Amino acid sequence: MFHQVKELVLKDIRLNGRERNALYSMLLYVLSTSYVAYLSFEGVIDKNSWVALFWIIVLFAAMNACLQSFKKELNEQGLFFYTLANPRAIILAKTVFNSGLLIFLTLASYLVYSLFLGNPITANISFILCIILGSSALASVLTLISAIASKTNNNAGLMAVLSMPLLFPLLLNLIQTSQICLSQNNLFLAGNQLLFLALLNIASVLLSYLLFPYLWRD
Amino acid sequence: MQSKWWKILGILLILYSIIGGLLFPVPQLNILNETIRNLYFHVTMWFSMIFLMLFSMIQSIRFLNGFDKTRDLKAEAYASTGMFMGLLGLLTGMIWAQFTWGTFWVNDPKLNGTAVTMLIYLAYFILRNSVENEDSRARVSAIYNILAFVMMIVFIGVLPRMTDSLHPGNGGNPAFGNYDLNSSMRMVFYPAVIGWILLGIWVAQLRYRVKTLEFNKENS
Repeated sequence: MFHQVKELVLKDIRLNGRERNALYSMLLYVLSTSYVAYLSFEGVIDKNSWVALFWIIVLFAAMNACLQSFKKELNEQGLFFYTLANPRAIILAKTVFNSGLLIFLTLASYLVYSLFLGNPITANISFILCIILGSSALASVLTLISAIASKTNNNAGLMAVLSMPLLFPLLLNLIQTSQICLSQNNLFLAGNQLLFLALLNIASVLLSYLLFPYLWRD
Repeated sequence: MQSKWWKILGILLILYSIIGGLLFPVPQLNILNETIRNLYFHVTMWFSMIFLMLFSMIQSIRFLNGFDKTRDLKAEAYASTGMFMGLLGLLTGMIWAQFTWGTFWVNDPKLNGTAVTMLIYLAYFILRNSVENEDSRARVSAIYNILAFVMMIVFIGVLPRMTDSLHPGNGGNPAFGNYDLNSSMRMVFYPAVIGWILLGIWVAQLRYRVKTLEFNKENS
């Protein structure tokens, strides 16, 4: 099982290394949205809006990044994968890969975004933790949703409709956590929120693990 | 569930809660005054909705255990009835909010949770309509239904407890259990909850039967 997960993650990394334009297009997306934010908000943005805008950019980048997760797995090639691997290994591998991808993307957008719009965060360790936990929670929910959406005719449109309400509370929590990180440099103040993010991670990974085999078999 | 006694019981309990809710004595509280009677109609809708959504999720789980089509139709019927109950709860809550907090809508964690719940279940219905193949439609929507219920419980059960709310029981507002849901209110409130849940199940069953007839007509 774990061996399969490892191999599948490596496969995804290799595939991404070979077709680099997917990664570049995501980075360009982050860069251009940050620049649009800079052009429209420079000088007028306060700390709280900074946080909200940051997470909205990250949300849309994440949705774009996870949209195509199952492009290869759930068509004719899927039958081939089906004979090779356990479906649970496939979803876990996808979740791990997408988490890694989103953590990288979010950190990149943090860098670009603070380059353009300044960086009001004082509690850096808490904020980095918040980025890591938040991105992986986003990834684990979005991976399952993209698997669901890939079963329908209207993949891209449905992905937004299905995931937005499910991610709304996560987004609220991320914004709250980041607002705590704005004022106090204290790991324990954001502790409760970070714990909630970690629990949400565990819950969504568990749900994907339990539900994906049913989605897979067709 | 074919028997009649629980349907009659549900109707009687609701009738009792309407009469008792409007006539029985209630504690006199500032701001709330007589609007506290809305508790019997507003909060019971949420209880009913949560239970119907729970039944819907149970049907979805049972569908995934054996792929019996009727379970999928039942899950859909429970979810849509629950959605309707939620809509009624939202309306009664908005009217209550207008008379106590001064606006129809406030930025409150519980209201956000409700709005999100409505959006999640609307997405569930859209998902059902956008898969053409019937087998995979049932399967995909069962999976989304389970995911949606778990997330909904997180939003309306866990998240509001982490932040302040205008609702009782959060952020320094004492809960109903502490002071104002006194024994005479309980006498009406709990029967009302049971009554509305029973009525919800009845409506869902009727809806399921209509759906089954339609389904059989299409496939015959």
